[in-house]
Amino acid sequence: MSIEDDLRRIPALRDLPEPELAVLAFVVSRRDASAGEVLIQQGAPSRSCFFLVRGEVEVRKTIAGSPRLLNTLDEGTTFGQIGLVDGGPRSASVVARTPVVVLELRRADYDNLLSSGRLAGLRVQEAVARAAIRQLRTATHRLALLEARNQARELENVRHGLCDWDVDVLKVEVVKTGLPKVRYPR
Amino acid sequence: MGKPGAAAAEGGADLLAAFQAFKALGAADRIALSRVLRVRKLSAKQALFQEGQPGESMFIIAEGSLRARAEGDAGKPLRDMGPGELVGEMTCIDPAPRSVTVHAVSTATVYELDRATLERLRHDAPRAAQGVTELVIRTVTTRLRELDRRIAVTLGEPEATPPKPAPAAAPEAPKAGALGRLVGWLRGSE
Repeated sequence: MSIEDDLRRIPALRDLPEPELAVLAFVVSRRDASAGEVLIQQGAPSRSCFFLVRGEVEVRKTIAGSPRLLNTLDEGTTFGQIGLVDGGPRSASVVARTPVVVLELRRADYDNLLSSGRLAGLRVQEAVARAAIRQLRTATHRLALLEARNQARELENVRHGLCDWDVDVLKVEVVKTGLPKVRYPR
Repeated sequence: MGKPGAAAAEGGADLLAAFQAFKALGAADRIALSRVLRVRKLSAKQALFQEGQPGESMFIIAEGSLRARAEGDAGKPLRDMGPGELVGEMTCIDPAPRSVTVHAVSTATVYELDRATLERLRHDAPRAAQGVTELVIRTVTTRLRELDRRIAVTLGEPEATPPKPAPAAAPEAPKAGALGRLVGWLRGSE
């Protein structure tokens, strides 16, 4: 299976004419990884993005000391794209969930592709934009859920507070009404 | 809907020159881009688009400021945007219902670019299309980093420590020199 065939499995690149695919095939490097292998390490400097040609990967992130599974990505997805843009530390780890085939595109090659003005560059850029937008949507949704959960917890605390108070009031009532009636000798 | 090409007449090419993403563009590409942008004027409080609507266009803010609100959350204001910033770029690139409602805070002018026009631009002026997409990627990436930070804080991660401010007026150490030695000696002898 040629790298051109691999590239055709990425929706944004599928319709590229042969010479453009050849240019792209020349600059990406193919990597086979087995399940459990780390493709991106959280916190590491970022220098490239990946196209997932085969298999599935997990996006994992350690937040406030606890490891979390953020997402599972399927074939055809672009990931690690923020690294092409701001070069900041990787925001999460990406680990192969099954045996995978990925194509890695380094930042310098991405920049060269863009400045060449080739169609391949435009399509890759589109794939990067789409992947970043989907990631932003997922993150927006996640933050909304977290905030809703925190609000629910606060409400729950208030309810518990009320219950305790109610129980206290009730206890008082029980104490009041439960007193054995004192019978005075006639 | 505004008039196509009106951005060019309004000197839109000059506005575009102020964007980092368009700096690398030649004058011809900037003019090509400003020709396809439509000018839309908004009055104060006028909505640009509503949450849940299908979105076709993105907008470059030329003047004034716009506010994004989430309908579901009691209309909580999410963020304000000003000249040079992009609005509605997500649904333009990756079709989906609008995720927020955006309206003008005061009178505003925006330049509209719809999906079909962007696609045409990819053929007619690829560099201009590339500049637009780069601006979208930068906008989205910046917001993504910011959201990641807020998610981490919501989950209990301490906020990244800002650069330490200079220590506030610490009690002055006794100055060296005769007076300092005297003060030191007096303190030491207490």
